[in-house]
Amino acid sequence: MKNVKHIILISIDNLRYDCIGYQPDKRELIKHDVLKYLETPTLDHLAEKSTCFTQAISTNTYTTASHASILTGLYPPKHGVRTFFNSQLKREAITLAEVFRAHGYHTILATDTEHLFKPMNLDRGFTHLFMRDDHGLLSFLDQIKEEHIFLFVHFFDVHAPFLFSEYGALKGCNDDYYEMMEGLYKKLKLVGPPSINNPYDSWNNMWTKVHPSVDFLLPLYVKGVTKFDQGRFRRFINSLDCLGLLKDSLIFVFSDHGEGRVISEDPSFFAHAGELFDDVIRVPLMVFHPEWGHSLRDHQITTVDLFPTLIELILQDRLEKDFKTDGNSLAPSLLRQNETNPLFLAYCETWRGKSLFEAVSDEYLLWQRGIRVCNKKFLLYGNPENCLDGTVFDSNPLDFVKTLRRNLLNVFEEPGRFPVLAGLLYEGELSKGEVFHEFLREYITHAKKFEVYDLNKDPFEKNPIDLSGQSWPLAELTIALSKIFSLTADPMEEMREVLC
Amino acid sequence: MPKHIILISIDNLRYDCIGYQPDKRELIKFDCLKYLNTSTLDRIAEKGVCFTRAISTSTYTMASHASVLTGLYPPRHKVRLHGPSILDDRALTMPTLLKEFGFETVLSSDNGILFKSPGLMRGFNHVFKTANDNGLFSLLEQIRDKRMFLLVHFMDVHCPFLHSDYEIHPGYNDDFYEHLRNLYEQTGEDIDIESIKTEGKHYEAWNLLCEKYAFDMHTLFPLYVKGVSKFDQGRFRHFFQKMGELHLTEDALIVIFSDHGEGKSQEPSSPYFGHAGSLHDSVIRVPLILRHPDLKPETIDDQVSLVSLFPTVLEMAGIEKWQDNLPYYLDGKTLLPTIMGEEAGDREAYSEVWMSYPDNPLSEENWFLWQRGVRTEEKKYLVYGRPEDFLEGRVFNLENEDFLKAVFRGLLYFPFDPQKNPLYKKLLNRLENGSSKKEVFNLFLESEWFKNRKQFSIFQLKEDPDEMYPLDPTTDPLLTVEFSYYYGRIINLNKGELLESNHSPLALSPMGELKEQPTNNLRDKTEKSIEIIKDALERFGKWNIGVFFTREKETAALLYLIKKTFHEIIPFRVFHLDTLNEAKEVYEFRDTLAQNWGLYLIILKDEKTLKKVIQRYKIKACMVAGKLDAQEVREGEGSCDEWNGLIRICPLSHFTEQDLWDYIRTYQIPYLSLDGNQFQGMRGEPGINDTRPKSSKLDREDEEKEELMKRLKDLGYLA
Repeated sequence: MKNVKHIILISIDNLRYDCIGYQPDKRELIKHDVLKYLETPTLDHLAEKSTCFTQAISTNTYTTASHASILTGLYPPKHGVRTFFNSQLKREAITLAEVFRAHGYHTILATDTEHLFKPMNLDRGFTHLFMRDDHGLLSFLDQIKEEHIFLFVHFFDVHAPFLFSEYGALKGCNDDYYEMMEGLYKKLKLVGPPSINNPYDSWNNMWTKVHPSVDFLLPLYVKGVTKFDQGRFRRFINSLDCLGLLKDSLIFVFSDHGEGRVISEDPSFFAHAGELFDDVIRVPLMVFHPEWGHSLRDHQITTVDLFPTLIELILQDRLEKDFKTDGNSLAPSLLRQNETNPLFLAYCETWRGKSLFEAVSDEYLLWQRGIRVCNKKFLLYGNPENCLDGTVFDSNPLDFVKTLRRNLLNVFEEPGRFPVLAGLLYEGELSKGEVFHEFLREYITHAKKFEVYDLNKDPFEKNPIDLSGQSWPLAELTIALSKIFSLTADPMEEMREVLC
Repeated sequence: MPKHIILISIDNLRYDCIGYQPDKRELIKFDCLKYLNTSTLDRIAEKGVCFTRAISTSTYTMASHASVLTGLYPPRHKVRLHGPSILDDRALTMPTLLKEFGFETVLSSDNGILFKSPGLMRGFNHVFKTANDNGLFSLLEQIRDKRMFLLVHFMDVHCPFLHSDYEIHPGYNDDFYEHLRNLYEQTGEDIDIESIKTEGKHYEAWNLLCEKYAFDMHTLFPLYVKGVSKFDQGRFRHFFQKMGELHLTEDALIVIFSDHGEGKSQEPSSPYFGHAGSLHDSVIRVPLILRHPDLKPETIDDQVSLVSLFPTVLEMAGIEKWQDNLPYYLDGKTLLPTIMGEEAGDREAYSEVWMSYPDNPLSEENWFLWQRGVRTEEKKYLVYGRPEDFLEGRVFNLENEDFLKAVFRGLLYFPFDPQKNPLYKKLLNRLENGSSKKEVFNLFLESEWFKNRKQFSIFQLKEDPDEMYPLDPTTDPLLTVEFSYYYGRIINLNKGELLESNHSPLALSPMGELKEQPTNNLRDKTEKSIEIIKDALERFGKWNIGVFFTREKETAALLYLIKKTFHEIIPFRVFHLDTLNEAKEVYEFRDTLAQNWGLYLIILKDEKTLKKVIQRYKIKACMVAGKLDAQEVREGEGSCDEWNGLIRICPLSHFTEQDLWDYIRTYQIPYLSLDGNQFQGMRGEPGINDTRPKSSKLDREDEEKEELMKRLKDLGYLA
């Protein structure tokens, strides 16, 4: 591979895995008849010189944790940013920015949403930060283009509000958005927040009144992708080209999570930050090099693979120490132009706050963890292992009940009400053993525990496999669960950190 | 705090063949309790802390002893096989550490090869490789004034039962030969006792006998127990008495343990009596006594693992901050809180056992992982083979034969001959005729061979202490979750990494807070330095100045100064000409500093690139941390100079060595002392409490640095 001077990581927040030309699997778009709205010439142009991965899996369903994994090559339990907010990148987690900075690169972070990076310390190692300032960024790149650049640019256009472009350099570029909103409000007879000037308020307000269903939203979403690709993104890539950066850069284009199914009980609810459905955990990923042609790779990879890949491709002879990451380098797959067949697993997890889909919460609970491997998906709900090792009995009655409820039954307590069982424990009416058995019984009979999907036969994830009496699949489940537990390391520790 | 530390390893001693253990059901069941007399051990136990649930990490000697000596589980210390495996180079053993802290270390083993071959003799000053109690006593008498660490390892209780390698008086082994003759006669065979004695073939004769009796517990258990009693009343009593006469036991921490028991080493329903097999409680449970006047005698029922002996011994030995010398975390933890009743022992105890092809145990590749288990007080969770390798499918990338072998070893976990095993041949045939590995794997899963093998078991130890009725975790969702949790722990323990610790051996001091008020002198000097720096920035601009990383102490001080000048950031690029000769600690120091202070650090691999770098980065000036009175050559040099087209700026040039130390101490600037001890006394400074003996390392360090400086100066790159 010819050496390149620069490295550019382009993160298109919220971009679905199938909203990009190279992806052959477009069944969801076809099913909802929205394929006609999809046109991504800029991305496709880049794809002509890229190796494109059709089965890339993200580690989480929301922005902060996913980006942390991309920047560190670690799964969330290791890098520490597990919940959407209120968690910090661990000191021991080394980021790509820190590595490249130490090797003489200018490390630049350009994002539309610095509040999704800075509070979590994800900006560590970057020497420059640009916020919603494509122009400023490009001028700066012009100044330093003779030197080595490591650029991480994060676009928020595709994210809700759909069709709304975060960087309105051209006047009137968001007129279509405002028109759409006016039309929607009228049609749905909604009383909106009067200031249509705040695009977020009017969007968010809509969802308090209307069910965010896929039939309604997917067309808007796809149109938004098209608008972004042909508008802001096209201008940005063109500028990079004019600066001469395209012909001397290794570029990774990817997303942190998709948008789609999030609740198993309601397949039409269209969002992200929910359960680990393929719609959301599958992401696009392509690697552009000025001297490559277009090729596809079908083997499964995960976003933690980016870190070791960059290290191997760019820094291999200059490294003094090995970086411990959870990923595998994709260099062999990228450099050998034929298909290789590594079969590695992808781990992902998701936490949720006190009210569903309210991103910022003071407390979170572990909702789902999953392993996706060889076209099977193994999902585990809650944090049951926390309760089965006996240490929960050491806590005071209130924490005891809270822990059992959150970890086994996967729900928070009812707000504002002191849990009845805790009260009874305090008064000595019940023993901890009895309460524990109550919860266990509830867990066994009603709670969701785990599910296995065969993605070959059931790509829409409608029918979990019935495992009764099948010894090897049950063995596989046991192995998958044990991998989930081993990757989660010490769950008690993590919970305590987040709850503080 | 004890003066001496004495570890007594009674190889092969069962957990129940000792007075303090209440659980004697097996002895009762086989009617052997009447043969048990351990009054010597019991007398020691009365004054000691006795553990009724101590668990070993393996069912064979080398792996267990390695765990005791390192505080690590077998996957980490790497002595995993009952055959060829060697202690990890980086593992620190108990004697090695204690030796560093002034102990005289002695090993005495009846069968030294068990320590020599896996590299467990590391760290011992004196070694006895065969039974030589008298030799040992002479040595101990000579060195008893020093602090002593003694590990004495007896093989008497090990088979051949009743035979001792050390005859404390003539005819001591007569009872062994008596039993041998009787048992042979009962099988109708004659043997020549005299020639066995003269040729020393007692071990082979015994083994042959056991084979004739199919290692049946009914025959062997009574002999075993008699052997224990004989040892306790005979050689061990003699030994312990002698130790008392030498006054070695009064102020000693005495630890008595066993590496494994003897019992059900095959299926629990089989009467086979042995060890080095299955992880049955009768083999992995061991006796454990800790005795010292500081410890109040009691019996502890909490489960503990033998890996916890290491930290316990080191803590009791009174070694301060011994953890700072360990670059990795231990698997065990100190048992003192458990003894005080504040903790409940080791909640999870891990053990593992490997098996080999019987005809070729010397080659490592003929071994495969048979059982791994985690034991809690209520349950034992066992995994057979390596099923975790088969979820991911990496195995499917192997070539046909290797793939099949991995499948058989991982999922059938027993010795098989590729030439003769019919299933293997059939599947290999299929592969070679074009079937995919997936298809062949599915065929394998449907075979009788596989269906009859267990993958996982759970034993409920309270209801089923003999482990006769395993539960299948896949039958019940709760059990599945519970089992998977412990399986996950097993997977983590098997990662086997040794150098992982949140604790960095180089501890940087907290920064920025003033400990003392700076003197006027210091204040003036720092002000002057700051002026020089600001002036340089104005003249050359931020990107045209490079700070060169040279001697760690000076450079850290310089960088700190720059940080203060520019409100906590360091706006210049920092270059390090890496001579590749630096100690590991120097690199760590540099990297930690770089991360903590956000340095824009550029590392140059050789001198030639220096010129290139100057050109590429357009460096016009270099800032270095030079100061007065280090070398004559620098006398008279001012704060600026010309060098190689670069203006050389030395903001610290007017600092003396003493000023520099004052500065570092006042502002608590991190510095590196190559001895690893951050609080080493500063050179030439009286009154600092440094009780460590001045090692010759200090002088050498100075010399090396001088050389380095001279070399760098020669290359035109001044420090």
